[in-house]
Amino acid sequence: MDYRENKNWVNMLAAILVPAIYFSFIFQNSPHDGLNTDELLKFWGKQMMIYILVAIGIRIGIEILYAVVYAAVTRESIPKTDERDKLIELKSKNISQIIFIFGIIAGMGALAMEKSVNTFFLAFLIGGVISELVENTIQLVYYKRGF
Amino acid sequence: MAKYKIENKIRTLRFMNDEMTQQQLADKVDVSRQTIVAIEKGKYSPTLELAFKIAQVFQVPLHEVFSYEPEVK
Repeated sequence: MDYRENKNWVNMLAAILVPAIYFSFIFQNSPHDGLNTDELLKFWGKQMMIYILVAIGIRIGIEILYAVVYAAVTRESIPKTDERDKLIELKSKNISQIIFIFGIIAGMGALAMEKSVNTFFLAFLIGGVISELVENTIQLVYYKRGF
Repeated sequence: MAKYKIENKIRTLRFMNDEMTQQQLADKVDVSRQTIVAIEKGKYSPTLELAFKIAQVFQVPLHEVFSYEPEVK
């Protein structure tokens, strides 16, 4: 069991589940119905700020839990981060950031086409999720195939 | 133009040094065992600093650990 490869799978799962659960809850309750643009922006601003804090908290929790489970199952200490890990992270982040920017551009495009503020934030969110999935996929490929 | 790749003799050198384990070498050069595995398999080319550290552990010059060879297909 390779620590970093499996951690990437866990991160990918979290990257899908955390926003999916959080925002499905928000969309189900639809508290944004009937709001004007200013109120919608405030609503999404608040939701995004809460989401960022929730996501950071959950990620830290998952990180700790995964490290504990890994140590218990393999009886090995957690591998230290070295130059290879940093290089892989740097390479994958370069590409994921470009994808995230595309998400923002898509959102602004939606606004330019007179779509609602909801569409902008949805594009922003989807861009974030895809960029994270791509980042972890690239890391997996680099760890497995090498570079 | 011929493609080149960095070859290494870490596996042999480990064997010649009292069958040093990958973990022992990793600890000596301050990287993870996975990185040593990747270098041995030719999946990762180390930085110059790490390459020098590895050569220092085996007390041999750098060119006795790493070589730059044309890729065999």
